[in-house]
Amino acid sequence: MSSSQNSATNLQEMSPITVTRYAIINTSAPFDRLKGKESLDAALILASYEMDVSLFFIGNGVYQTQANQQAESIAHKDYLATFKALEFYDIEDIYLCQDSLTERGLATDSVFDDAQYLSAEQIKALLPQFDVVLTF
Amino acid sequence: MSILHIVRSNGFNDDRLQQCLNLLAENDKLLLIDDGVYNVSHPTCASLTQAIFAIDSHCQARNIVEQGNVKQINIEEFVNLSEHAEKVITWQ
Repeated sequence: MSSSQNSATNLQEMSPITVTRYAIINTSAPFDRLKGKESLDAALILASYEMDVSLFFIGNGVYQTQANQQAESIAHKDYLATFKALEFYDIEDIYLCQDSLTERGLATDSVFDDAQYLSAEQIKALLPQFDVVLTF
Repeated sequence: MSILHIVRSNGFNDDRLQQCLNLLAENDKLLLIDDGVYNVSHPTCASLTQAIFAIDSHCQARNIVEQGNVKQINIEEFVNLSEHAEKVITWQ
């Protein structure tokens, strides 16, 4: 009993920082292995534990944000449809890289109604405010 | 206020290196591990003003010799580096 209490105390001492703010950076196109799906799963799991989650889409990640993609036509599961669930998990801070969209000839448009479009420089300036940054 | 960015793939193979460099701030540090150590001779790394590190054993395994602006470090120094960073971003 006492030893388990000790280990619990040690654990607390070892992690004095409370991690609350997560940035999840999506850098992969929708069918690039399972990265997009795994990223979305991670975001929803973190949010369900009441962590503050922001989503970023940069590089090929911006392809995930385009409307009217039909995954079923190549026999894939349409995980992009799950983006609709983000608002129910209070994931509202969604940032798209304008530079990446422009490079790829994509319009400033996405499946997200209230996404914010930022330059790479603006995204760089945002990153320091997060406790943990994960890339997928 | 400094972020340690870890790149573990070759910049000629995918765009992880480029994505990292796009978001690398002036005081940030770049650490190359695994196939990422090939980037010591990537043209985009040569012009960086930020501190660049590469794991020595990973370089030795690939016969990559010490380059001007890249400091080779061992695993212990890697641990130190990550401990002193405000946060670590692994580009993978």
